[in-house]
Amino acid sequence: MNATQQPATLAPGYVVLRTLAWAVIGGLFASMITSDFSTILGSCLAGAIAGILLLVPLRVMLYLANPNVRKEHGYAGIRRAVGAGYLVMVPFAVLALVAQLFFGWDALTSFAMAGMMAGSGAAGMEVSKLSGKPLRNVIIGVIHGFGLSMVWTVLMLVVQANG
Amino acid sequence: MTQPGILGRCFGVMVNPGAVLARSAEELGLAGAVGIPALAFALFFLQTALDLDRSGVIGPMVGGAMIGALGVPLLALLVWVVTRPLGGKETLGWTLRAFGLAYAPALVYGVCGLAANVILGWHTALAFGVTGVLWTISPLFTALRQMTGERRRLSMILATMVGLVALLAWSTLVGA
Repeated sequence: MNATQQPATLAPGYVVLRTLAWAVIGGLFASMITSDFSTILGSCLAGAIAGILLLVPLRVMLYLANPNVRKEHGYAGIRRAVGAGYLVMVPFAVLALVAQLFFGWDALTSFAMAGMMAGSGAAGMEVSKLSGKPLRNVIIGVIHGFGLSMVWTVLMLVVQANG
Repeated sequence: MTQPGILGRCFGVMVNPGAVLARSAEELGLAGAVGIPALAFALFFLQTALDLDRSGVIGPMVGGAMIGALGVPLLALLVWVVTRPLGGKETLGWTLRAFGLAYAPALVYGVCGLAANVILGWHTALAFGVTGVLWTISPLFTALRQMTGERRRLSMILATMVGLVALLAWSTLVGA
């Protein structure tokens, strides 16, 4: 299949929304350890920054793996496609917020890991629409999502080890 | 092209929901569309009952199966009605099948969770059950985008609400 589709165009509001979703996950993570407002706020910021930085390896992998997309749409096309895919993270963040604040569930890990895996997978699929090579991009998405899950698991183990 | 089996569809809808929905939503029988969420919720509620050490597991299982068999199609119907005026072109049958298929990941997690619960004695309702329900969001989001003519914001809101309803139903019925 030829690269026939145009990369997704997203209004700036979506980028804010996606970054907010990461910030919520960061804030909820801190709220499991402390009730100090400034720490939670700092963790929100850290989550937002992590959300921006952690997508870079995914974009680079997809960029390197898709020469036809690279040629036709450039890095900007990959960036927009990954951004469009990662919008799926927003419902996970909202549900995590509701679950922790209103239900009092201790299940942030489930929400965060499922959100990251789904987001990376969806990002891979968005790039597939441009490249016509779904298998390669889905595998890259799964690998990235799995990597993020591992990072999260290590983070949780560090927190638990420090009481 | 050979069609994937039920196991292939279950895993496929987790990693590549768009392709599986496009390929399988047309041909999945209505029995499958109702059976997948019914079984997924039955296993989810069964794990919850086992976690809470309840003596009776039949009641929660039947309750879960009812939510899956009646609640999910009802939600699909509601979403279909909401999206029709917005230019949604998918038929009600397609919507019912897409929603049913979206619960395939929850079924996979339900089977794995039950095995871990029974064999290893783990508490699995949150770790596997809730995670399984969360995994439905991605295929639902994909289906909703198709149903709303790629309206991402509306699809996000609807996917969040459908996920929230499922978790609320579980929380209310089992008192979690």
